[in-house]
Amino acid sequence: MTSTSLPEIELLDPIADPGPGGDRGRDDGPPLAVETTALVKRYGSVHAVRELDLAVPRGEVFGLIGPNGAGKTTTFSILASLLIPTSGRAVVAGVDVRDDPRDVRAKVGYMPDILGVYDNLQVDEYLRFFAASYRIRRAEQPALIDGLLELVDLTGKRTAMVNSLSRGMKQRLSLARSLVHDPEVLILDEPASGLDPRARVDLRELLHELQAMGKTLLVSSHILSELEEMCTQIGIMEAGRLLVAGAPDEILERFHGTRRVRVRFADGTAEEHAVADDAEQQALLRRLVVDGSRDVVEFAEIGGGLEELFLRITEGTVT
Amino acid sequence: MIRNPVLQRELRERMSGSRAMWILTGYLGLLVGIFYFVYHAQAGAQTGLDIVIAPTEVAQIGRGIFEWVLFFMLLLVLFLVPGLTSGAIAGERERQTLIPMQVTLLTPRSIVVGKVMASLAFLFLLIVAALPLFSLSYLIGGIDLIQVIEGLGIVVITGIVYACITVGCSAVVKRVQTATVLSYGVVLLTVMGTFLLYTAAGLVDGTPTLSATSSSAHPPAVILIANPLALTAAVIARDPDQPDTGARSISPFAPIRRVVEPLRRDGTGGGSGSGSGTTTGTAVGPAVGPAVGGGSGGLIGGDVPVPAVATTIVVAVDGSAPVPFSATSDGSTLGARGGAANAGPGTTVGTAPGATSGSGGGSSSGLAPTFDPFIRASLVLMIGLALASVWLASIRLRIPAEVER
Repeated sequence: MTSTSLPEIELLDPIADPGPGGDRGRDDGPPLAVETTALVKRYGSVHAVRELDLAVPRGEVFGLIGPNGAGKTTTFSILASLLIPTSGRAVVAGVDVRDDPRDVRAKVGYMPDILGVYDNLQVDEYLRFFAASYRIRRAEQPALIDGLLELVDLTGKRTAMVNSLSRGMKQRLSLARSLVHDPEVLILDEPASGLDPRARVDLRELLHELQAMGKTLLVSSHILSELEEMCTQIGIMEAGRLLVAGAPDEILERFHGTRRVRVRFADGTAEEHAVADDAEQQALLRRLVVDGSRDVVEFAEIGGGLEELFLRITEGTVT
Repeated sequence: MIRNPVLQRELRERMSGSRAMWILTGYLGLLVGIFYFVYHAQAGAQTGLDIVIAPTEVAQIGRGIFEWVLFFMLLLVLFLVPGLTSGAIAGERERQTLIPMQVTLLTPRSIVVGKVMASLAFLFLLIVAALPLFSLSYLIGGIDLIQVIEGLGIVVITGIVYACITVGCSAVVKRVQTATVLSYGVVLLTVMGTFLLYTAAGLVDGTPTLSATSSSAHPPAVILIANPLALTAAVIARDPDQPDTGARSISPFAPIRRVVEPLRRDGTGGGSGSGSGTTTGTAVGPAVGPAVGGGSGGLIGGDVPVPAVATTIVVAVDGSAPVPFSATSDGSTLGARGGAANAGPGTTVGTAPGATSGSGGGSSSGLAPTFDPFIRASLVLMIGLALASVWLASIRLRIPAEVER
């Protein structure tokens, strides 16, 4: 088990792969990494997913946000070929999940929301098992595992027992496992749940790194702030339906309407102002400062960004 | 097949803990204790260890030890296999490790086969560890090497069959607890249940059964074909020059042997050709070949080791004195039906009561019929059950739908 240290990362890097694609990842394939049309999944009388239309272009980091029970896990399970949709189509990396689930599995890395871990198994043994399960040749496994461990920053834990790892480490190991076969599309169900802030930042950096490798990422969460900074595209889901989808700025733009600014003064008083856009907000600030009658201590947008929007959308106040 | 990722991981996981060691130690301790006890009961009590014993008595001692050790080994295997295997798939489900495995390129079949083989690997360890005990009883005498091999072969087959059934139970249900109860239920049903049923049938008939020395009228022996102890009794009791010995060497298999005996006598003597036992012979006998061959081809593919191993052992047991039987018409339906192989022998036996013994007539020349109808029927049923279990487990894993919401 001596590590052959040099170009491990390159095994994961599609640029190093002399396959089709050339300069920036894989541009030859279909433009959409994930596409669902009128996707429906029912469990008995429960509608988990209703008429879901999803389109995720290649190379994006798509965040699916919604409260618990919105159908995120069901959607992801269908995309990972683990569930058969009741009706509708789901195409992942150009393959219909119903036509060829095996091919989907070969192209998709899936990380479930619950981390199942074996007793009595070392980190490298754990990864070797999954490498073998993905039909990766024995000779290639050590270099691959070295590369993966380095990518997820677990090189020092190579011979540690899997169940002795911290939650954040298990999460990263789980991510490494889903990357074993160098998938085009990565589906991560609640990857940041239960992580401390430090681990969350690490995860975000890791996801950026994966995006830079040309992979398409689908990430779900019920906490929007987790996704706000790491996603290039966001979809908000509730009760099995996709309510909004698009780039975070776009969504904000569309639903802006009432922005509120809170101003606090040195004498302890505070007031709120409604503003329409950035220009108006700037004008307000200038007016307050120039006026000078009261010293401004704090000037801040209230519940700005997606967080508030998300709450409003899922409450049904925005349609 | 040795490269099966599931098997390799299981071996790493299982053997690295201390559990394997303790089970092995306890198991060997028990067998050694039995060995010692039987030896003393048979030799020490009357003659003392240092007194020269007559060769015939020595033979009886060796035979007695062999049968008792074999008997307890079987019981231990029947006891250990469900306990060690019932978590195979249900356990993965409970630990939430099944989905990551299902999302890989592993086929449901290779998951199931890996699990069965992992269970068997431990079983083989148990058997190999007990070999010195068998060689001791062989050294003492009274048994042939063939009989030792046959006895061990039956233990192996029993282990394989119950490992397959337990993995099947484990795949079908959601929780380990349910799988454990279910698979021990199967063991109890096939081992104790069939005996009780047999006895009950005897009481209804009004004929003396297990306690009787010999009787021409028996309840149908078909009841016992699913019983691994009856199968063992039938296999090791086939030695014709081994008379039913007196009280000094009471064999654990004696009661079962009395049941199986008449079937054999019908075959060798050729006296009464229309006993119920002989009937099973014609109906079920020809099915052995195609059931195994067709089953392995149709159910889980030719490259799967389970049927392969089973076939080899069947051949090994058979090989001592092969009985000519034609693997044609009757068997092909059984083989073709594949998954329903377990139903095959039962129904065939039930619906053909009038047939007479074909193989019995063929081997009535005085040579021991080493592969009598009962053994054949029993082997077919067990292997059929095992294949059906593996098949069922693969089906169950094919559609994941495991996602808890």
